[in-house]
Amino acid sequence: MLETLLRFSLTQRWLVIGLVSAFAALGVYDAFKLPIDAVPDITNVQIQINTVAPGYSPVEAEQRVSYIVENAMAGLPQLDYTRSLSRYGLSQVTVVFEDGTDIYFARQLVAERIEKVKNALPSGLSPEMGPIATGLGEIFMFTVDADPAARRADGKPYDAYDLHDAMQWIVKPQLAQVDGVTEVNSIGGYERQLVVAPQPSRLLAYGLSLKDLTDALEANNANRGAGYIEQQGAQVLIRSPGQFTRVDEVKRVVIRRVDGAAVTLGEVAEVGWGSALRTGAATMNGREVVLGTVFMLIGENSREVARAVGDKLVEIQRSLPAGIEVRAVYDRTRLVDKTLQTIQKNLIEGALLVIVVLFVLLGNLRAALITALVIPLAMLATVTGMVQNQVSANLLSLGALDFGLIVDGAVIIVENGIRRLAEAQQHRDSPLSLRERLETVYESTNEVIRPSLFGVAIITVVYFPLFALTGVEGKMFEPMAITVVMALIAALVLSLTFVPAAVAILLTGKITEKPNPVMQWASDRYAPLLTWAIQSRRIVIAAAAGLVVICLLIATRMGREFVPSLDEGDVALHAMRIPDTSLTQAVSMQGALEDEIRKLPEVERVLAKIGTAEVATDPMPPSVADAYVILKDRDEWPNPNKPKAEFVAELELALSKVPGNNYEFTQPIQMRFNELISGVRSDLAIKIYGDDLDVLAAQAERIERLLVEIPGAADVKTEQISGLPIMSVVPKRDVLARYDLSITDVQAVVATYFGGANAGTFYEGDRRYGIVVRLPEVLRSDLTTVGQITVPLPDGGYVPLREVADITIAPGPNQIQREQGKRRVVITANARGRDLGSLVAEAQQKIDTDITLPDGYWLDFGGTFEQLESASQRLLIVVPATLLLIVGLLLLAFRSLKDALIIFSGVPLALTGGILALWVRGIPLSISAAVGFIALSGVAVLNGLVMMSFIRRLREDGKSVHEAIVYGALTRLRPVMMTALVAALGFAPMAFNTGIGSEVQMPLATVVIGGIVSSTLLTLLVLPALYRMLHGKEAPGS
Amino acid sequence: MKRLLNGSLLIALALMLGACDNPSASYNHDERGHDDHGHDDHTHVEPSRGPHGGRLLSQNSFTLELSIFDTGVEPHFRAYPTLDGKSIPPDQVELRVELRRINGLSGGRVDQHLFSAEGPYLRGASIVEEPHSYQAVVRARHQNQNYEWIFDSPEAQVEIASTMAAANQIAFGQAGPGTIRETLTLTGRIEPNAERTRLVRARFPGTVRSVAVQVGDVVSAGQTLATVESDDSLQTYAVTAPIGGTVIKRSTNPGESSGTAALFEIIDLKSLWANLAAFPSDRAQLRPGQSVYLRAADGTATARGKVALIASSITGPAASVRVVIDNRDANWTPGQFVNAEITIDESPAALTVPIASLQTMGTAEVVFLIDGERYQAQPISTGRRDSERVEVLRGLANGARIVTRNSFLIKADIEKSGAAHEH
Repeated sequence: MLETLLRFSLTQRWLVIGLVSAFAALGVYDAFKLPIDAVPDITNVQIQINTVAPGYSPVEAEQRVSYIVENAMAGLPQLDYTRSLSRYGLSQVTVVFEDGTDIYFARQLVAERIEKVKNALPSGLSPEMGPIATGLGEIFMFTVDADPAARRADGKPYDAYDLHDAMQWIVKPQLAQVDGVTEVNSIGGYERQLVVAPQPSRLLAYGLSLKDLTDALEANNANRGAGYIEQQGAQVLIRSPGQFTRVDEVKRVVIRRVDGAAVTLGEVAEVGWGSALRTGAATMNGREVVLGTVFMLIGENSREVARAVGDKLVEIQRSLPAGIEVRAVYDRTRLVDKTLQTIQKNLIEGALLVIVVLFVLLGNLRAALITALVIPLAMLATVTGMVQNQVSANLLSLGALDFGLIVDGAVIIVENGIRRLAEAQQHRDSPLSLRERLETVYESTNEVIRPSLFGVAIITVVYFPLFALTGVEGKMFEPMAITVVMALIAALVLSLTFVPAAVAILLTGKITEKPNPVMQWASDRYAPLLTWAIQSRRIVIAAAAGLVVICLLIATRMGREFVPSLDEGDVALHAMRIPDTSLTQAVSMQGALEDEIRKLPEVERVLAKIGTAEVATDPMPPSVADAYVILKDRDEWPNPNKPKAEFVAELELALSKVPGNNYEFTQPIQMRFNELISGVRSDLAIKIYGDDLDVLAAQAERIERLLVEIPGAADVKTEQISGLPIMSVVPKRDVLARYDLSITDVQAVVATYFGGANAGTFYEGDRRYGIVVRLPEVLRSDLTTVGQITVPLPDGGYVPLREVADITIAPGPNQIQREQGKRRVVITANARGRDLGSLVAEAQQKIDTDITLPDGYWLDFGGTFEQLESASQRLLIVVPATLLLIVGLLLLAFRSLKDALIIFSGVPLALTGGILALWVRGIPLSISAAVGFIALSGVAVLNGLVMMSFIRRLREDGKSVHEAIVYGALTRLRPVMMTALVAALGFAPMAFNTGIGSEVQMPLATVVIGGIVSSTLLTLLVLPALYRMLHGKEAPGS
Repeated sequence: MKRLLNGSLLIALALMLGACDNPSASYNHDERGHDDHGHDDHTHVEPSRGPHGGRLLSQNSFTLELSIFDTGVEPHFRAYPTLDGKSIPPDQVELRVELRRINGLSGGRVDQHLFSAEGPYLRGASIVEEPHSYQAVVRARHQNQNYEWIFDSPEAQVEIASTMAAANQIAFGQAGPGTIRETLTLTGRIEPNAERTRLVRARFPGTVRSVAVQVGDVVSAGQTLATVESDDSLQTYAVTAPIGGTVIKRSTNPGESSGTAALFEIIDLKSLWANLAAFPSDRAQLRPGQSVYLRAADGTATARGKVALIASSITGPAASVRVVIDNRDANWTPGQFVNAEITIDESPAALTVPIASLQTMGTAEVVFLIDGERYQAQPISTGRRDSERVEVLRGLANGARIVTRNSFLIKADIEKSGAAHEH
């Protein structure tokens, strides 16, 4: 089959070139469609269902909303699990689907279920699905702010209401139109409401109830259509407008006639603009602002959407009142551009280096160009494949692409082609005829096609273990594996088709193999070394084995990390305060914090979201702030070379002096991922499920105490579920009977006075504002007056609240979390100074013996140890299987276990260089480095393969073992050096560049370069020695 | 060869597995995430603990385990002495513990704890008061050998730089004597003073000849209101006002027969009643004579008075509390709705703190003592309180310097980094 394909490529060479060109054109087209971002998307397929439940405490939100919504989702196809969070005024149910589920299909399913369950929810509540976005979705943030000197039409400075209005009614509607934007979420400012604040004593004086007020408002604020009449042939519409048009009109609404006089709303209540109860605030540089976050639709190109949003903002600025400004404060384009620059720089520099090496070593420009052409062609094919597989271009997916590896197969074929064509011409004067040329190319290609095919196949195979990773690691590294494998396969196909065809077309005329000075020099040095290695083979092999052992020892002592973190350039931090912190207190504490942050010279600005935004994509309580520290460009830093980690340490030190906050440092994208994935990522997580929160908390405390005692258990923590002060107004049932009141009567008064009652809408053009009845702010904020508010009696009298209800303040649940349909509390711990397995085993055993949970309560063990366990098990099978597969492939190629193993010895030898390189540069072991080792194993095998196949051919030709080794090794010096050099140099820019994003690629590239150097040296010396040792006694040609 | 193969297998495995070993890196998520404000003792070095859970104090071969015992009893010290790891009879050891505490006064407070042998341990004679936050000086003597240890055991204590405190508007004050005024708010209506109302009749029925006043006229005592021609004597006589006041009702006109019915109603508006509704739960706190501050619901008038009478109602649950208002300025009119603040109790308290200095930590009420840049949460028990001050019954010294503004911030800082409770 290979032969047929080769023949076809040679005879139909123009067709092949044509097809390749067409495919390349497709690649160019696809390149414009390729989604580009800085990092791979690690979000699972999830849908947030947010239900805003004004005034609901966590317990009510859970009981009335979360429970119902969550249970409605049970049994959805491809459902992974559900979890819910109930906080003040909000229920959020997160439905997580299995990876690979189509998000629109999932949303359709969820929408159907929500529709079904709506009737079971308290009236007025409607669950809504969160934006169709992933963790990469928050691509742009902007503020709406006013120039302090600017004045409104009425001469006053702009206030927080105006800013909110500008955001809500001018900015948002326009931004939502931008392609690829799925949501514009706003936080901060004051939402304007028409507040009717009755004076309770005046209501009493006139014998009015709150309901009289809301009824009067509702009855006096409507437009009505009344059909049409025909009038002298014309049709005249009839309407009766009665909506409020001015605040004055609201004041003049008559509530009732008392003693013959009409009591108006203005008589008993203050009517004016006020603010809705806030759930969140935003600050920038220590001041309150209105902050908007733009969410990008899943699968869009963040760079383009962010740019479009930026352009639109400039347009929007023109439509804003003079003095109000929109300002971009976080723009993903910046990061993506920088990352792209890094990738581009690495790839282009790598490609150039490869071309130079090819030219120098081949000594033939045309041949070098043919080989180099494989790079863009394979790349374009890869792009097409990425678009087809919906793999986005980012640091990780493109990070393992080494053009050296890609051209390896082509190098071997071209190199042999040149050699054979030159050889064929040596014996004659005239150039080869077309037939002869084709025949020579065919033969030369056929000669090396198998080893190079095997080589590429092996490099491809070694990437397979990456597919065994699941969860977050899988999502990060699978795209990388897919991309590399696609690029390698493309290169493989090209070297079977395009390369021979191009060789046949281009390498015409006189081909001479000039003695290349570089090669000459190398082979002059190599020959004596080789002889020495074969003679002192035992020493060489023992030394190599010793080196392997030493490196293994070094490896066990090296630092480890999971994935080197991508520097996003900016810093994000959670500022966490105690649960009962009020929003106002939090804003003032955040102000002090930001003043401190701004003192650092590297900081350009700092902004923060406190509490929950209008759309609860990230439901935080007021006690938590997400702060973004946007840094200046490095050249503006006092010390442009200061490492980011050092800056973060300085920031941490400065902030540790600010009282009242706890911090968690992270980065903007990383923070968003964490919020969305929200799985337990500590080593060990014990989840207790059950009904009663107090019981859960008590049991959690017992387990926490037990865990603390276990040696090696660090960071033991129980999720904080209580601590929110709750004022309970408990109606006294027996007293109520005496006054002929119901529980609802009492609750309605409390709810209206403190939470507020909706009484219609005030329209102002397109803008609409709620009309709300609630206590004046002075009375609302005074706890001591709660007992004094009066409850109207059915007979017209009244009774103070303290007479009919007990009022107490006690800490209550601040949030209720559910998972898989049950309340749960989590205790987490990490293993430090002890292996996780034994820690988990001891914890399990101790909990089994010491803890008996009450009936109806159960616990389960989770955490990363679970993933680790399953990943380890999978890898335990996959890694040896992969290695076996390599040996199997080698066996297939050589039909000799001995030879297969000789080649395989290149793998540990290659690893030594990789380990040493990491060690010298002080880079810890990580998955990125592991990927490097994977790539390395492939190259090492390829090196051995090239040499081994040639030695064997020579022996088949009847040469003695020694002769075959020496001649074979010397002849194959060039391809071995070439494949090694191109692979190493292809990665060189990645290993040494320091641009943004380089920290992810650096370990990988370092490993490959170090490994290739060692593997090449060792292949050139150890492999011949080994071969001599194992085959020494055989007769020639056997 | 085999070894190499094994080696490579091993390293490949080690790398793949090892790489997954530490989830503390980049894209990890921590469940604690937002909710992390628990006990973060990264700066807190745990002292070594003995078998009784106490702190181990060692010098040469002598070791003392000092624990606070509070199971079922008031917390007190228990000390277990050992020599070379072996228990020694406690009566061979002399022990004294000095606890230096922050109490908001300069120099702080020193608690002396004397010990005596009790069973296998030495028992401290006095209670270890809350908070268990102090610098301890432990002096022991055994076989003519003196030992001394000093250690800090802070609890619910933080340090905040003074510049930072100022930037966060933390302000200080002193605990001291004050007056606590407890009040109760009632509502009610202004009514005429029933004792200052007069119905004026014609003494001898007859025909009304003339009427001199109209509704709303202010009359003085003895002023003629009308003249009546008696049916008996046919004499015309004057009907006069019995008191000075306002005519609020006139039910006669010239020519009519006076009959025996009232012709006029006169009210003296210079004195009015505020009738306040006292519901059963408030009733017990009310006494005649308590001072009352009245405010009209429409905001037009205020007045001071005293509770004159508390009358139970036969029609409803609410009792009626009567306050007599002096209305010589004519600010009040009957029918007005009033809010009344009744002073239930007003008396001096030996020790008070501003209400703004008070915070709740766990179930305890605390204030924050200041010692330089250190802040110590001090649990106190409180008594009466009003809208401004609260009485301190226990736990605080007179003149102690405490935080009086933004005390929440101190609580926030302590709770975020609160160290373990010393046992």
